[in-house]
This record gives sequence, structure tokens and C-alpha cells, in this order.
Amino acid sequence: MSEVSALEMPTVGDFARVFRHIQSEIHKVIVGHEQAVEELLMALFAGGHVLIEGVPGTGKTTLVKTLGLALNLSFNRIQFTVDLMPADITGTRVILTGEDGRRDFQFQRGPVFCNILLGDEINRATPKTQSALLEAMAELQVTVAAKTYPLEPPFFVMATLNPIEMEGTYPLPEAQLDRFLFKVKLNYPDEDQLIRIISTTTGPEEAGVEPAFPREEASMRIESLKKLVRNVIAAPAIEQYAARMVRATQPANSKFVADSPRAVHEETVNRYVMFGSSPRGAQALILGGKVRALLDGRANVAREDIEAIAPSALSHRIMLNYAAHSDGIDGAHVVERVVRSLHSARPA
Amino acid sequence: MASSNQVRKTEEKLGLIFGRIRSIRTRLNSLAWQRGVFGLLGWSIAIGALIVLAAFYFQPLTFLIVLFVLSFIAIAGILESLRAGWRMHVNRAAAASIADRRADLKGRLETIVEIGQRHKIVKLRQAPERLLLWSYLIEDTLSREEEYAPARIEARRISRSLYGFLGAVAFALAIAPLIIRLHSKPLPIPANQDDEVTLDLNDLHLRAADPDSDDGVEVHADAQTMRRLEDKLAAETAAGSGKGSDTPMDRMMSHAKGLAGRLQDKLTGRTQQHQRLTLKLAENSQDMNSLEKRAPLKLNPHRKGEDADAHFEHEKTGNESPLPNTPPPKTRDPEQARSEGGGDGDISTPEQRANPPDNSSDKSADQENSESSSNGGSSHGVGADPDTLFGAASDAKLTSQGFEISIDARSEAKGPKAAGHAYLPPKVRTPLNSSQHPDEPIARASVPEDDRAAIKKVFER
Repeated sequence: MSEVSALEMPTVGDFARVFRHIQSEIHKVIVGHEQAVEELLMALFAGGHVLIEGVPGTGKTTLVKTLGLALNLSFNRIQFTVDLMPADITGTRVILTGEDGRRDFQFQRGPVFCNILLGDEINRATPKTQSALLEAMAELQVTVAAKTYPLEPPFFVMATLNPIEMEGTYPLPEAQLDRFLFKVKLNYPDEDQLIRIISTTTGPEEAGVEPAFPREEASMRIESLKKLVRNVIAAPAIEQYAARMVRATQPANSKFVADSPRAVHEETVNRYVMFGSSPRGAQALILGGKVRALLDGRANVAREDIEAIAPSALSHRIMLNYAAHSDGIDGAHVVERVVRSLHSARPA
Repeated sequence: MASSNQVRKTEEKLGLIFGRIRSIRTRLNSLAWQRGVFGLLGWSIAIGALIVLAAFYFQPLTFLIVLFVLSFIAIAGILESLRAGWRMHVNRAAAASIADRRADLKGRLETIVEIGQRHKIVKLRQAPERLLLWSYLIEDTLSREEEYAPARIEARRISRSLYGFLGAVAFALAIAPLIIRLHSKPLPIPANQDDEVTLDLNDLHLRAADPDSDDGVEVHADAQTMRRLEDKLAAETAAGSGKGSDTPMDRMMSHAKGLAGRLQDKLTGRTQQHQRLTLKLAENSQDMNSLEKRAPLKLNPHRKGEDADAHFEHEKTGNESPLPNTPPPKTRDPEQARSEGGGDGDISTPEQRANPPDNSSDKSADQENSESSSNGGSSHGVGADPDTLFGAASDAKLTSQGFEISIDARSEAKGPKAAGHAYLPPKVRTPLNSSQHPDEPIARASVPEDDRAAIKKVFER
């Protein structure tokens, strides 16, 4: 693990510059999806993981691969299928014969041992296999045969979901969904973007991505930038705002929710939400807000940052009821209503 | 660890930012105070003017209701203004938050105020990386000093609520001439009211005066009349208590009306313009001495009569101007006034004027009256005693005037006190046509000797 001293700590300006540079490198390959790319990088610097949802052919896998190239970090890809086993992800102990002829169990590292992991179509694997990622994502370590193996930071998981072809898939359990900092949606490109995609991908030369850091410095630089993010100042009022927003996603009549006189109750939430966001949602709001603040050249989190980050940070943490599915309401819609309620409740 | 010099510089800059925030806060709170004060004054003035106007136009009960409604509106408006002012009042964090929004500083000032507390800064010093960002935040915010200058955050020094206050003042000034005109203008005199009002005692409802209230009429009369009044009062009280008509609600309503009336009097300035009325009873007074002991009233002992009619004669007291809603005082020509000899305001009958007061004659008259009163034969229709039925023919000139009783009263047409009591229409003297003759007492005459025996037999039967 790289130690970054205070003197080596990048400034607010450094962060924004590096961020924009990586962003521009990715956009050499990825056409459009500006918000998705930005949220992807924000999640990376906030120390979280991203769930990417998009229809086939929208560049999910390309996006992740390009990110790995731009960051100059080790990159692995796992195509999740029904027959994929946990050991296929984490690794397993195999019997190897040594030079002296002795046979011994040795741990063979799985694809999870990398800096950037792409779990393609994660919902096609069984819950057991999906859960293999839980420990790695939350604790940056893997335990196999009672032995724990730490992962090299930075460790960044990007899982993709295909919202169609749902037959034979296993929707991610709430516990695993909650471990993704953001959920990013990739939609079909518009006509101009599509023309650019055609021209850049069907020509004789493919666009090359220039790494933002040298290979040996990449991990350390990214870790120092992540540390800078953690040091951004969030005033108590901002933390309170994030907490209130998370509580506002929880239905008032839920038996798991303690009532509070200051709680904001949105009718949409009470009607359509079965379970609201967990406390991890509040952490995601603040961390995402800190990255946004740095990108804006600030050393403090503002309410505007929290509001801007809320749809990506909270929508996948909300479990909707049948009425919501019946009425075509999704998590993003609920979060939007919550943000609007809180925004109007702010003093003029 | 950051050097102490760097920390000191950061704290100096922090002081500058706090100074700016203090100025912003002062300006915002000044507007908040103005909001409350102007609202308070504006509502008070506008509603006060309406109440004064209502005092001129409404009867006490209506005025009472209007007063309640207007008072409620005023209280609600004042409370809302004070609440709005209080809500506009900001502390340092709120002032910073407002400045952030108005200058689009994205929470910089709010963060500085919240983190800038001493114990939090001490915590920051223990985390050098964070202190680095703290210094950056201070520098960054101070470099935008112009953006959050107090005049840019809040350009107004005077609250917009001033317009409301000025509107209320303009309204009050607009109706002021009307109020002044109403104050000096006499109210129309009821057409059926005359200088003299005749009331039948049997038609009167009497009620004991409430010592806490200045409502009611003070009545002075001779002993016999007073006794009769007392008897009637006792009878009415007994009848009233028997019926249970004077319920607590009635008393409360009466008190409320009285209160409203007094308030109206104060607002309209009519309290000092009460008219003094002289009540004249067509009654024979026989105990002048006792009457004078009981009440210092004008008394005319010459009239003897049994009818219980009472005649009211309005008399102005002092030099007060006439009340708008009361009939004008009975005017007398100077010669008549001289002939009445009433320099002190007493009203004397023509008989009195013809016969100046003489103690001896008064005494004899008193004695005669007393005797006739005691045997009861002097009253028309009362004397059933055949022995005293036929007395000497009276030479006294018959008149409709008897006692004069002064009362403090107001015109019943508009006055607030009128609504506090049952209204009794006065008996009005109407002009007679050519074929009508006025009711006059039959003069006592000597009975022919031949008829005496027959009449005596009739009464003995």
C-alpha cells in the first residue's frame, strides 16, 4: 500500500486537472455518455463501485476497458454466466508440484485480483457467485479456505446489467446493490453521437488512449487523489441535509423507520417505496458531493452537490413495491421527488 | 503540521470573513425588525381607524361584533407580522447561508461559519491535510470578497413592509376628515320626538340600577310618587325574578352592550354631551320637605292629579352643546325665562311665577296637601269615603305640569344606552282637529243641595 505524505498531497486544482484529463482520454473512445463517464470517475475517486445499466451495444464494456487504459491500472473482466462459480472469481487452491517433487496446495488468484474489475452482466450469475464479490467490494480482501488475501488498491468494480433479456437472470440482492456507490445508466446515443461512433470505430485507425499516469505511479497517484477527496470539508449542516434526504426516501409507515418531527415525507415515497435507502446512501451522497466540490474547485461540499449526486447515489438503493411497478415508477423518479421536496423545504 | 504563522494568518482572514458575515447579518436583522415593527404599526393604525369609524356608524351590539371581528383581524395581522419578522431574524449561520445562495458561493460561507468554531479548528489542526484544505477554503472565500459584500447580498436598508405601514397611515388620514366631520355633526333628530314626552307609568318597565354601571336614570319625585315608583319597581322585580327572564346571559349581554356603548362614547367623544332631561310627572306633591330631603329637584306642588302620566321635558344642563341624536332643548324666550325667575336653572310653573315662593303659604299648602294625602280624598277617582267625597271646590288652575324630575339620559333613537334597555315609545301629543277637545280634568264644583242625598246614597251603597 502506498503511503502519501502531506507534502505530496495534490491540491484542489491538481484534482480537477487530472480528472478532466482522464475524462478527455476516455472520450477519445467513448462518444457521448458524458454524465456516465463523469459519475464513473467520481465513484472511482470516492472509493466506491459502480453498477452500469444499459441495453446491449451502448458501450458498457468499452467504457470500462477504456477507463482501465486511461488510468494505466490492471484490468480484468469476468463474464458472468449461470455456471460461473465463486472460485472462478476469487481464485482457488490448486495442487501444484514443486521442483522438489512435493505437491502442495497453492492459492491461484482469480480475476478479482486487479485494480479495475469488470463484471459483465452480473445478473446472469447465481446469487452465490454474485455474493463472491461482496467481501472484495466492501473490505478489499478475499477469503479462501480460511485464509484472507488483501486486494491491491485501488480496487474498483464496475458491474453491468442488461435490463432486457431478463429470462434466466438473477436480480442482484439488495445487500449487493447497496454496495455499489452509484448506479449509472447508459442510454442509446442520439444521432450525432451515433455518426461519430460510426466514424471512429469503422475507420482504419482506432483511437488510442493515452494513460494519465505512468504505470508505477498510477496506483499511488489515484490513492492520493482519493485521500484528497476524503479531506474535503462537509459542514454539519450538509451532513444533516444528506441524512434528511436519505430518511426522506424511507416510507413513513414503515416499521423499520423511526419517526422524527423533522422528517420530510413525500407522498410518492409513502405510496411506492417498500424500503428506502440504507445509511450507505448517505455515505454515497457525501462522498460523491466531495468529488463534485473538488471538480468545482471548492474545498467544501454544498447542498447543490448533494442534490446533483442523489439520483445516482440513491435510486438503486430504493426497493419499490408492486404499485410502483404497476404505475411505471422507478427509483430515479422517487429520488427526484424527494430532492424536489427537500429543495423547496430549504429556507429562502 | 502547519506553522503557527500560517495558522495565525488563516485566523486573521477568517476574522475578516466573519466581519463581513456580521455586517450581512446586521442588515438582514434590521429588515426583520422593520418587518415586525411596520407590520405592528400598520395593522394597529388601519384597524384603529376602522374601529373609530365603526363607532360612529353602528349601534352598540353591531359595534361590539364589528369590534370583535376587527380586533381579531388586527391581532392575527400583528401576530403574523411579528412572526414573519421573527422568522426573518437570522443567526450567523443563517446569514452565511443566505449570503451563499445570493452570491452563488456554493456553501463556502456556511461551511466556514460552521467549521470556524474554535473547537472544530483545533480538531482541524490535528489533521494537517484537512487544515490544508481549510486554508484553501478561507483563501478561496476571501478572494471572492466582493461577491458577498453586504450591499450586494441585501441591497435594501428599508423593509418593503414600509409600504404597508404607509398605506395604513394614508388610509387613516383619508378617513380622518370624515371622522372629524362626524364628530362635530349632530345626528338627525327623530321626527316623532318632541320637547315633551309623556310616558304612562303603567307602561314603564322599571329596574334597579346596577351600581357598577352608569346606565339608568336617577329619578326624583315627591314622596308619594316615589313610593309608587318603588312599589312598581318591587312588583317588576318580583315579576322578573319569578319569570326568570334576567338570565346570566342577559346580564352579560347587557354588560357587553354597556361596555360597547361606553367605548363608543369615548371614541366618538360624546360622553360629556349627555343631556339632562327633566321629568315632569302630572302628580300631586304633598310632601315637599320630604321630597327636597330625598332629592334636590325642581318641584311644582300645585298640580294635583291621579293620572300616572309622566311628562318629560328636556332641559339642557350647563352650556353643553346639544347632542346630535337628542331633541333640541326646550327654548324659552328671555321674557318667559325672566318671568319664571329660574336663574339657577329651575323650572317653575306659571302658578309659581304668579305666586312667588312664600314659606308660610308653602307650609300651609304642604299641610293641606299632607292632610288631603293622608285621608286620600284629594285624588280624583280615589276618594271613596263619602265623608270626604265632597270638599270645597278647588280654585287651583289646572295644568298638565306637576313635578319635575331631572334625569341624565340620552336620546333613545341612537344612543348606545337605548339598546341596553327595552325601548318604550313615548306618548306623543298630536294636534287635535276641530271636532276634538283636549282631555282636561273636570273642575270640582259645588253639588246642588237637592242632589246631595241621592249621590250620598249611591256612594254609601
